[in-house]
Amino acid sequence: MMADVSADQPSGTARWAFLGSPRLIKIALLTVVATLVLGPVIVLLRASLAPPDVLPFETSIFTLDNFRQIFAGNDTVNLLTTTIAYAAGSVLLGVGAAALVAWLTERTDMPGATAIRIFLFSWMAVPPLVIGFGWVLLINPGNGALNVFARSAFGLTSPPFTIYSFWSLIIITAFSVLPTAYVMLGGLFSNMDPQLESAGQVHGGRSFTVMRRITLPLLIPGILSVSIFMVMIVVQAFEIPFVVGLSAQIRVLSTRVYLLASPTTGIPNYGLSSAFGVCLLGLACLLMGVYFRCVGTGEKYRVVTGKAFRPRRQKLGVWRVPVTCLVFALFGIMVLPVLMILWTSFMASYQVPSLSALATLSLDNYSRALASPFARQAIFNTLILVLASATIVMLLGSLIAWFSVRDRGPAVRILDILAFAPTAIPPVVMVIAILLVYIRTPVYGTIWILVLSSVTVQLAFATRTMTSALTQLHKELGDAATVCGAGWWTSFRRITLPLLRVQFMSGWLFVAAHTSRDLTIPLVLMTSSNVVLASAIWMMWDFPDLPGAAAMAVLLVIGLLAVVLPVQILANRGRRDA
Amino acid sequence: MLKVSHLERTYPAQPGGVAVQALKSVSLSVEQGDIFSLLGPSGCGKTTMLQCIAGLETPDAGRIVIGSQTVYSRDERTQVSASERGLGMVFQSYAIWPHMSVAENVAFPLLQRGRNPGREQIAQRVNDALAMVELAGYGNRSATQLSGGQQQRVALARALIHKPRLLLLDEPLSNLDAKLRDTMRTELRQLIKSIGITAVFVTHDQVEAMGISDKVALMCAGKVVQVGTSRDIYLNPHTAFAADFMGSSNLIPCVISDMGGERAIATTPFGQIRARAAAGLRSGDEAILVIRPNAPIVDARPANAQDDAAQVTGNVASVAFLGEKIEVQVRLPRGCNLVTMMNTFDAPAEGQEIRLTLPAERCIIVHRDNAAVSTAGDVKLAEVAA
Ligand SMILES: Nc1ncnc2c1ncn2[C@@H]1O[C@H](COP(=O)(O)OP(=O)(O)O)[C@@H](O)[C@H]1O
Ligand SMILES: [Mg+2]
Repeated sequence: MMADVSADQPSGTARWAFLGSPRLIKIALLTVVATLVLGPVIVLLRASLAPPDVLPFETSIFTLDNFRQIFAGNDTVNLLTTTIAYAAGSVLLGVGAAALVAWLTERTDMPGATAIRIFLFSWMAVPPLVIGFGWVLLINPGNGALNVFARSAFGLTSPPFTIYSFWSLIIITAFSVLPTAYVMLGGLFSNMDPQLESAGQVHGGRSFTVMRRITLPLLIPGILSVSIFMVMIVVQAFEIPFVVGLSAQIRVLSTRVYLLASPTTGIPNYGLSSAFGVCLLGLACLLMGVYFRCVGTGEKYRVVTGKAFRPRRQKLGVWRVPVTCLVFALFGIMVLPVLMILWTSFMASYQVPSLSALATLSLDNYSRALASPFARQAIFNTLILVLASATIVMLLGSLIAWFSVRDRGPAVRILDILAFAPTAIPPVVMVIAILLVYIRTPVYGTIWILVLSSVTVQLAFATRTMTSALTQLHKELGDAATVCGAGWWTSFRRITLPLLRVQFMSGWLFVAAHTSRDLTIPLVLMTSSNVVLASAIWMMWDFPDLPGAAAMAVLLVIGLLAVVLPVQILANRGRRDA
Repeated sequence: MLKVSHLERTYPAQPGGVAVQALKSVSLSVEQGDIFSLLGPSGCGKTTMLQCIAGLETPDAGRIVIGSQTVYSRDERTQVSASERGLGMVFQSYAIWPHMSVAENVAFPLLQRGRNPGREQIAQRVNDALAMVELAGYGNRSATQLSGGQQQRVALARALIHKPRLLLLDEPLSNLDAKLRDTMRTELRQLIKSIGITAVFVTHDQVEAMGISDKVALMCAGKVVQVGTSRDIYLNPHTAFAADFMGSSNLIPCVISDMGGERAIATTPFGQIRARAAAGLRSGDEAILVIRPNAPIVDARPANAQDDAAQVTGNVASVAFLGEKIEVQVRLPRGCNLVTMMNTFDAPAEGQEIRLTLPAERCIIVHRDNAAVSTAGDVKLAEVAA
């Protein structure tokens, strides 16, 4: 028998020691996640039952006054119908367009499909804030560029477009729904088993009939579940209704919650804001329930089989040129607001694009922005926010994923639910709740409260990404390390994480992009010392310093594109090679 | 070397399922230096057993002692974690880490638990280990560039490099193609024997188990039904399951009529057969008569019935050609069928009358299985009946 250090180890030292690390980590995780997620929710509920004008900790009174006030007038019914009409309208347009584009790029011989795919996947680099500002500059009734052009070209007396209408809000939101919906639908279209369609053709169906009778019905469950998911996102969305809808007096639930908590004049009414927040939370939960029911039925069809298919592509024939032109025109419109911001960033003061103004182009705004300590602070803060929150949330997500896949106990079930809950909590509600929790602590006002909020808001995404990655990983890979003598941490750090590095990195990138472009969190928690790029842009715009805001916005977009675009191009190359 | 007593493991019910009793009071004892096989059909609890020994799975009750160390005891509330048991394990999927080179994979165990023997020592031991599995010079390869057989060798080198006291192998050959499996089996046995390490080998393939092991524990539905050398289990099975799983056999329901010493008379539909009886059987019991396909002596002409052998006559129902041998189905009186193996060059014609001499030495009467124990559901029935 070979001698080994472990062979002559006294058994006494090992008594229940095995529980030491993983169990402790599990308890620590549970505590952290419960504090992150449950804390704010409890405080929100408490605040909604407290009298207005006081912080939830500072009172012992329980009252239903806030809810009574909400349901007293017609106001709330209006708010609710507006919110739902807004969400339904923009999702109908956005998902419809996305489905059409997905079919064109994945299942037809339309040229430029790869370019479109990369374009839409990289669109997450463009903050909704910037798109909102761009549209304001394009079609505000006073001096919106498109309005000025139309008036001079057709000799109109009144502006043909206005940003201050319900329809403008819906169309602008639809454009922001399109890329996300496309990302979700693309896989559905490209992974559909072509044999299902071939079967239809072999049995005598013509291509149009096959599409109507077989392809479409097969895809309907998928499109439906994506639509409901997007309704959930739009109901929770805050930035575009805030930038575009507010001046138009179009109130939706999310902006109402914000305005009550941070009014432009007067003191914040946290009680009423929280009560509205609870209503919004309820609506989001309802939609989530519907979503899961739909995903359940979608499973029955199993269109996406996971096998890699080379789907047969439909020939567009005479339609090829007009359809291509139409699609590219659509993307032209999508890019317009960004171009408008770019143009403004080169102007000393805002003016409508024209040939004569070309001579005044300069980089002054950029040098001014980069020189000011305010902007430098904002850039520095943004870097800390992005690096810290993306790294922390992905690590946290990986740990939770490990326990939820490898260790299935009651504690883990709770951990799972807690980590998933933020999906149903609208970010604006979550941030206001976080504000209420930490407003009296030293964390408030620092950049770290932004990190904490971003981690909470992105936790569900990170956990989901890493869970689905980990389920693909053979359990024996980790077991092998354990039998070799590796402790839990070593095995996690040396084996599990390196094997999941691709999913970890792409999740990290997604979180980083969404954290840096997000305005909701920095705006609600803004103090003079924790301004990041997004809130700086907002402040300069509000000041108003339009060219300065535009220059900062361009910097943010360029910074994001520099990271996102190469990754998307690489990913696309990988996809083609595979 | 390894002592397992009254080990129990029940997997709790998954949502929408029932609890699975994977191990039911299993006891085993493995001698130092033996290659010990756990053999049984898929789902009988072999992997669970191995994982309990490794510490990757926590049993619900029982005791596991490795060498002189109690690594698990329910009563003493002792549980040594998997990383501290100092074992080597080869997994069914090999579990070679694709993000590391071959050398890094093999060196991994040397660097755990605060050990660091130094760069040179590590390189030396990795080279030795790779040479031992005939992969010298492969150290810098990426683990993903290896064939199945090579991955298997790397897994073996990794499991042996830290000189474990016990080697566990979970169906290590099942992912190889048939030819390679045979050579690897022989090499594996030679390697393990040359090192002198004790090994527990899990397989569902009886040929593999017979070829590699010194001792076999036959498992069925979470229980060990028989332990012994392969030869012993083949020649003296206790139950119909053991007879059927270890080699193939004709299982004929019978009643024991006359019990005298080693011999008994089995009354079968086609007559009375003298045979050996497994321990614990009594006169009047309903039992199973086991006749291995290679047991009957086939004769076309009538021979003189000897004292200790029965003779039956039947017709050839079908002949299947298998290469070196042929499989002959013989139809006996009263609708019984008997399969027997014959030399290819002695192939009888279909329909031909044939005489089978059945020496008592080659026939054995075994216990009936309480139920055809292959699924958990059936086992529950069996327990109710018992
Ligand atoms: N993690 C688990 N959870 C629930 N049931 C399990 C688990 N692992 C194994 N089982 C069940 O336990 C029984 C024994 O499994 P296993 O030990 O893997 O069998 P074998 O290795 O002999 O094929 C099977 O019925 C199997 O379905
Ligand atoms: Mg197994």
